Amino acid sequence: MADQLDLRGLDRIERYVMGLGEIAYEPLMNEWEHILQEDNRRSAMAGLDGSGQPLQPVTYRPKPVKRVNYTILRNNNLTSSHYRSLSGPPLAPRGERSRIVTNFRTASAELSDGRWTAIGAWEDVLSVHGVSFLRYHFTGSGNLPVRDLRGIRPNVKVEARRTLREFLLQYFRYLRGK
Amino acid sequence: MREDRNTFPMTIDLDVSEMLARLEDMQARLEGMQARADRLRDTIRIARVELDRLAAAAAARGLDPGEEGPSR
Repeated sequence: MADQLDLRGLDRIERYVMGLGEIAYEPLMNEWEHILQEDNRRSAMAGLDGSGQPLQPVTYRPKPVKRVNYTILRNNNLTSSHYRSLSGPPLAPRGERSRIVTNFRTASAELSDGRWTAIGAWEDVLSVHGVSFLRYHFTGSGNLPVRDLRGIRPNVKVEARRTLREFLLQYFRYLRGK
Repeated sequence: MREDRNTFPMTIDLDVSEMLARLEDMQARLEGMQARADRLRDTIRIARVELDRLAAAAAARGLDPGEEGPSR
């Protein structure tokens, strides 16, 4: 009669459960930041709003301009003639060099035990006079049409879920191999 | 990232707090199982010692261990 109980299976399960509780989500958050960044760039170039729908086209450009003043004004603003000469998508007249692309920042953090977040936001998109003006486009203030870039687009949600699933599956495989 | 009015934050959130709570619960139950297994192991060890003692006593009386002794 054996006087030893083989508890290796139980030990393995315990290690697995403990491992699941100790998953470091930073790599996933980095990936989500990258997803936000890339989606912002692609959507800006495709002229899409925050829900993935086409933005209302611009009507004031591009227009033939006799003399373009290429002076870069304060806060990286352009002159009217320069804007009129550009053919980029709505809110991105300079294409990938537009501030909705270059001034998009991401970050991520663990808010509390088990609650993580990845954030994307536009920083310092200011008028010559230092006014943060994107809000006027987002809300359609005054005569401006609504061009709201805010929101997590459906494809981002799909991609975030896919990467979460892949991340966890890889982690499960790693834990099982331990 | 600055938290001033120039930003319009959008977030993707992950909440695994419920999973962590359940894992903690599961871990506690596994530890309970481990403790019960340890107690069972002790019981088996004691039983083994007792069986060895009985076998030795039976052998001393000329009985084949595992064989029943003469009825009285």
